[in-house]
Amino acid sequence: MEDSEYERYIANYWRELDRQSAQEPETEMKDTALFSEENPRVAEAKAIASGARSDPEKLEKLFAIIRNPSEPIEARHSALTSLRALRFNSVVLDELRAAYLDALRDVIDDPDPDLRDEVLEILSKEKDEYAQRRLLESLTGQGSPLVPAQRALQLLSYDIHAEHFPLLREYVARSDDAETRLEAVRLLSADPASADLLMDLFADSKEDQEIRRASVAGLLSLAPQQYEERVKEIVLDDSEDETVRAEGLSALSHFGNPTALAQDERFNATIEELRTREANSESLEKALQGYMQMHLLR
Amino acid sequence: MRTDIALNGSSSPTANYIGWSPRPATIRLSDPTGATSPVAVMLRNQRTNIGGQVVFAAAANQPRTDTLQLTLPLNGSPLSFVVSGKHPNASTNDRDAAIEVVLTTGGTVLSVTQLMVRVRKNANTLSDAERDRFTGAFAILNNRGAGRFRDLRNMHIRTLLRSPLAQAHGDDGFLPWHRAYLLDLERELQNIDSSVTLPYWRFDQPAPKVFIPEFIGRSAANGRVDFGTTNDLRFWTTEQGVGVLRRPSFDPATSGAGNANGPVRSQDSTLRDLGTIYDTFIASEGNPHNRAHSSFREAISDPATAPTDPLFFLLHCNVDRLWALWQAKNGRFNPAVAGSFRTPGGPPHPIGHNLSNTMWPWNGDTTPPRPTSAPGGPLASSAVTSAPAPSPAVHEMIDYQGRVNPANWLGFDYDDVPF
Repeated sequence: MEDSEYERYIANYWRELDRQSAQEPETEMKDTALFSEENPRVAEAKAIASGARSDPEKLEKLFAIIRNPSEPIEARHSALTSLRALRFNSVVLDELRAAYLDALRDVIDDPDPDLRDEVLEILSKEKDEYAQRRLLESLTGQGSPLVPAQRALQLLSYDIHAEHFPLLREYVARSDDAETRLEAVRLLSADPASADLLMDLFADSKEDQEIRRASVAGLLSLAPQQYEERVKEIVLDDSEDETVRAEGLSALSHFGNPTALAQDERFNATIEELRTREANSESLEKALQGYMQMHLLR
Repeated sequence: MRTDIALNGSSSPTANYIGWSPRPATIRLSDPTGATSPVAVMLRNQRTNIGGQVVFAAAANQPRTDTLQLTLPLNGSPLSFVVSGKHPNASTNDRDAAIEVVLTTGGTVLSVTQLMVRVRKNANTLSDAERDRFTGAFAILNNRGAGRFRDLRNMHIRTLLRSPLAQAHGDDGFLPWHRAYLLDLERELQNIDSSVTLPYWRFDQPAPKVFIPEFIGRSAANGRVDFGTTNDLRFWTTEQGVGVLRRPSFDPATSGAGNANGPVRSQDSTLRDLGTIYDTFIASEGNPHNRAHSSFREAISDPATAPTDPLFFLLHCNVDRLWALWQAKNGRFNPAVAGSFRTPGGPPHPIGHNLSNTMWPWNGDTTPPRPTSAPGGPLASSAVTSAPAPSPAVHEMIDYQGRVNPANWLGFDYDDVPF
């Protein structure tokens, strides 16, 4: 049977794909390697890694490269990067997990800050108790600072525990570094006992805007119904910053009780009126649209 | 006089979603007023300059054309035909495609059936509206890290005993398992917004429209992902609290993915250099898959935490698309034919990595060596297809376009993998 024009188009499409993928590349994709391959030890690390997936001896060699401070830093990073990749599909690496984590722990105090940071990150994701203890000690001043405080808090987020929350609240209350406070606020979204604190931060018009935004997101993910009324007040307050109002409204859209919101005629009428104003900021406009779509136009 | 069209074996409009794969359809004369003999009609696209476009065929083995002439019996019995999306004209909005039925003589319009040519697209090419629908649906599904999203995340964690990760990695079931995983997620998104598909991040190319606050987020120097002030993903919540940590080792706006050991394998290399049989192609799990993950630091770089970053699903969508491209290039759709899966024989492979195995967690199997729990229940259902089974087997993920049997269509297609 004769092909149609469309069938000929499809056949040609696949021919063209075959032709294109069969070509040798004119130029190699730009190598995004952070470090030069001219270092022979890096090339060796890569060669070991390429056959390491099912080979315990080669995996142990990669561990040895990482923990050896006399190896070039580029080779240690290469070995670590390879192991991070192999973590996805190497059953043998899974079986050598204890030895792998041992090797990483040996590097926690390495003079190279990037290497320290990277091994702490891996150990944190592995929920390693030793790494956690060292991070907490550095945050409480009981140990040497391994990474900046804000970074230490980020790493703790991979395995946040209830006993961390008092420390986080301390950082919110006392730290003079905005990023560190912000990180602490984000993590407190896992602490039901911090709901009041988050509400106070959101309601404080003198508080940093980013902190206020993070607070309402955390607050409403924790205890939406309890604080809806206070959040609504801020949303409706024309003297409030529009980005903060938008954030509150969006958080209500996502986390609020749909039945309670649908029944609040006063609030919804005000939202509809706000929607008619021409001078709304982009963020407030988008938040109004989103709220109306989710709660008023159903 | 009026006609009715039913798509995908259903008269419900919820089934009016197709991809490139030919789909069964029927047409009948639902109101014969004015007709005294069988009615000659023509099926065509209502608009040819806007929206998704379709092509027709009288039957599955017939060439597809822009129009189709049929003669409808007076008694209203349905006549079968086949319809598919006309590559590359996918829809950009829900129901922006329409099948118009007109009388062959005179051109009177008898019916218009709206539908969507719904395919997975390159995330870097989405319109703002497509992007916002996706992020909006994804944020709702996340639902503070609770509900159905928690199940999807828990399917991909590591535990010390009988790890779920072994069900999905390190062996031949890697690609089928993740295809089912993405399908489960996508169907959940479509339960929220039926116009949404999972986009793919083409990780061997720059993606300047993806790693922005309005979409999958831009990484700040401190590793925190900025989702801006209007992106619903800024409420993304997981066990790590509100927000996402992600540090690329490359500049995603100007470069494809890569790390200290080099760039991710390109699409051309993936199709050219990994052989023509599954036994060799499965090496794609190493590079590009592992390399793409480890081109970042933080959550997405570890299998246990990777699904807590929404980027994970776009990354894996591209991994799956590369498999789909390879399948089409090499004709690897029939699990019963050598090359579509592992060559039989050789040492036994773990459960979950063989063609006839059903896949955890959808099978609910917690018998050793399967994991100790099975989150989420059966695979989400679809209004457009009954494949795969709620407890899918590995082999059901291979003929995803229904080339061997149209009933095998899994309900998705990729923008650049036409049928």
